[in-house]
Amino acid sequence: MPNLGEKSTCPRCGSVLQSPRQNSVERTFALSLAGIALFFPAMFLPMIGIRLLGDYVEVPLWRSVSALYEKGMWLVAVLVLLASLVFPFIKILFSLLVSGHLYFGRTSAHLADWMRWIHHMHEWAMLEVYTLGIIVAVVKLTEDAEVFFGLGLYSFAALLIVMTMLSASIDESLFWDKIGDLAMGKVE
Amino acid sequence: MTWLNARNQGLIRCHDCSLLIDQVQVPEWCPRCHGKLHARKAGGLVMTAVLVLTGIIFYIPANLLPIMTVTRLGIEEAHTITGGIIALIHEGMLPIALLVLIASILVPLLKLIGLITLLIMVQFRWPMDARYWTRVYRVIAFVGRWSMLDIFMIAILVSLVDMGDIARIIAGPAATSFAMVVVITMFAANAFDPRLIWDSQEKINE
Repeated sequence: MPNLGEKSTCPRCGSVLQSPRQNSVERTFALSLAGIALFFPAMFLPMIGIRLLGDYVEVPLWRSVSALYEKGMWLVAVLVLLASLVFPFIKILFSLLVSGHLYFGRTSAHLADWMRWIHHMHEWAMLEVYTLGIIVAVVKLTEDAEVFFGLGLYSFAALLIVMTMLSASIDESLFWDKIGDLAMGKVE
Repeated sequence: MTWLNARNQGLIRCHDCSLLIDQVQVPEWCPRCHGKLHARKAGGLVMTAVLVLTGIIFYIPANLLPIMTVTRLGIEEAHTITGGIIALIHEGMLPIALLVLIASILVPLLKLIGLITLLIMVQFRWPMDARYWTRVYRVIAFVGRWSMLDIFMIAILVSLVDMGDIARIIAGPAATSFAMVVVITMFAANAFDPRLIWDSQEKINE
């Protein structure tokens, strides 16, 4: 077993097996609370505004989903909805639920399912990619219009930082061991 | 050299929680996390091949059809992915153009080529540097999601620029095809079991 700050790797292919984090449960709990607090302003406050030919328009992040849907691009709309709203929210919510249960030493029949969802959300929650989308969109817009940044964008930036720290704070093998122990305790 | 691995020790390792389970019990689901267990993903090669082919089919319209239509003062202009990149170069935004070129064209293309190469090498047990190709696989599995960049950018533009005939941006049919390419190739990478790379080499050495 590697110590704190060290990591063990597969001798055959070099993939990281375990990299323990300090206070993994406590950090995950705190960061997912911060994530919940930032999520709603990031999604529903005005993100970007443009002034074009005297008209001013500003939109929150969720409008990028509904605008696509209204224009008949429902499949793309569903994908953007999942990758930028639903999956990041599931990741934060389930991180909060799992770390909360582990922190207070309580068990739940759903712990393993929540933890498995978190594992898969690393790939399907795409706020970092959305950030690049914002950057390219703003660069394209500055050519024709005056661009303004709203509170939603600042919340989004903060949420992105919290989500990145959250991903790094979850020590999956430690979490699974604790979940396994809790489940055993319930059986006995 | 023969490596100790879970399968030749009579064990199965859970994909989701890494628990090692005795093969003698042969449970279908992991007792700890309730995830589905596979000694190796059965039919994974066929599934990967089918998904890669589907990805190639969608890749063609994704690059040929317009991905967005820009209306400026009543004049409509349709852009393909390549057209958008060329426009960025003309506007002197080379770094951004390069970013879009990598995320939208090179990543999906190299992913498809990489997965096809892996499938062929594993299927026909060609000798290869397994360590190197495992790294290639890991890069393929990691970078796929970044191709969604173009889709997010269009979603933002569509929501912001909507002033009727004066200025309007709408997403084109290629947006749907392109989104399909990204998602299908992500599923293709997940369907491939990288342990097969090592299995295919062991049989050569024996």
